[in-house]
Amino acid sequence: MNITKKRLLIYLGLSFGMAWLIFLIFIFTGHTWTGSSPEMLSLVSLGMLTPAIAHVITRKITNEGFRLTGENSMMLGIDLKGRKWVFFLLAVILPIVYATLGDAVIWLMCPEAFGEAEVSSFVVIIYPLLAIVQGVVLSFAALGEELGWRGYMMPKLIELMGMPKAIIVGGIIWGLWHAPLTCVGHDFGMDYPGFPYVGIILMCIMCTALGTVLTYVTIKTNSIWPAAFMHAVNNSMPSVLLLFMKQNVEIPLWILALSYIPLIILAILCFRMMIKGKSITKENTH
Amino acid sequence: MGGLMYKDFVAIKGKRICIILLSVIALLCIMRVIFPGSMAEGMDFVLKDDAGTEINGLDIMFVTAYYSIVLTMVCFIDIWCARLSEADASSARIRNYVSSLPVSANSYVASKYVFITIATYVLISLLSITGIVLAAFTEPGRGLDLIRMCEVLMLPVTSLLILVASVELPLYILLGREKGNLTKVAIALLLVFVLIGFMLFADISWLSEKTEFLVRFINWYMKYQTEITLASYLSTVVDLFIFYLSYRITVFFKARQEA
Repeated sequence: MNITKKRLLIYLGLSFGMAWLIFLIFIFTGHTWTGSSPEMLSLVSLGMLTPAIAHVITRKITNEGFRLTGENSMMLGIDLKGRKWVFFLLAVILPIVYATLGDAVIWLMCPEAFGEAEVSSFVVIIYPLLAIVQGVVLSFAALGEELGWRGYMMPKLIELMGMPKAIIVGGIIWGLWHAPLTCVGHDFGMDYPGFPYVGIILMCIMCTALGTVLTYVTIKTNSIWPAAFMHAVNNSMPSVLLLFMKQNVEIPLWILALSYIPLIILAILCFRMMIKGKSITKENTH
Repeated sequence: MGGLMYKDFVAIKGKRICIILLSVIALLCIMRVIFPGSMAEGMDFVLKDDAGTEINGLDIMFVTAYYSIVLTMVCFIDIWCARLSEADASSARIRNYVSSLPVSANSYVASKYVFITIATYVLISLLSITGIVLAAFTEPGRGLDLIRMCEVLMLPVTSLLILVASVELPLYILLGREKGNLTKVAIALLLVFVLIGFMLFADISWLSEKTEFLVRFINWYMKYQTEITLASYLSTVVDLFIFYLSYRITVFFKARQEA
């Protein structure tokens, strides 16, 4: 078996094994995503650190070393030269843009889900900035995932099957990794037709789209930090329209699915730029 | 710059600190999982305060340990700021070696600032992870409220750490450990004198109406509680700007010192 494939399988085995163990303990102790305390949900969210742990263990087992920067490294360096700082800036701003546009789609399709904001206009104005600060300062969980997925899995997949296939396969793997939690209501709840399979498929689509953007910023900066910040801001629910959303309103799953359109458009743009960039590099090499 | 940062990591005995810190945190988390808050009743660990409210003794014990770790970590940043420059100044061999390296004043100063930034990020992350694990096994009540309060305070604490580093790093880098310490004490004394002078000579009649002032302040806080809490989160942005400004000023004076 190809050595890269072997390394990738070890990583995936460890990453899925450790995370699913945590998720399954959570499920078999009778918890669901919608019915558990915020403290228990935070504890399960620490499963996000398992890809990083799997990355470190795999490197130890396979003797790949622990280089922080450069070729075949853990991509932990930060280089802001050559306009790379732009990608760091985009990484924290873009989640606000696509999340707000996504919620605008929900507002268009399901206006009854929105009403008056229960907070002052000051909070509405500073909310996106707050999401960025909270996301960046407390980005350790997202860093845990990115260190594994973008820092180890994606370079190996790209080496094995090339960029386009790697993006899709990587997204599906990432989506399936979330499957146990999707089965107990993470992201989409438990009350929708085709539960939980439709939810898992949607999660794979969302992960493929988000993964494309995250891979793009990782490749452009040769660092996983912008991806970690982007993932963290994405998870801190940066859309200001959420402040206008009514509590306990059931939004149909197909409308939730449509809210991913802005993210998917962004992902297609990033994908095109990655393919274009790669072909230019190839031409220059020839 | 990576080499300089590794030197700093060795200078603060980073490996030993990491092992001790991680062991303490792991032990605390494991003990919490073995002894969750729900066990307190069986162990006769439930106390009652004067008002007759039940307090989970087991939870309070773990929360106290957590707060001790939080305080220790906050102190670490203050100690490390001093240690970083002390190591460079303590031995002529290291001083000569550092000055012979092909690094500019910019890189030298940047290595200290980046090191403290990474240290702050790691410490805050460790505190958050510990808080999450402890909170999950704490029963609702006073213990859980204290942990939640600490989680809310995490961003303002980060701001405070950044602010402390912004003031201390230039002092220690430009003046060295001893003079830096003296200047720090002098600044603190100056602030105390200003406060005393204000109390002696300024119009403080509003303090005599203390109760009214406090009531008005509390009412104002209660009215705008959400806004004030959120604004305190944003202090991190201001502090990061101050941190950058402090870095630029230090680089400017360090370059002049070397010239």
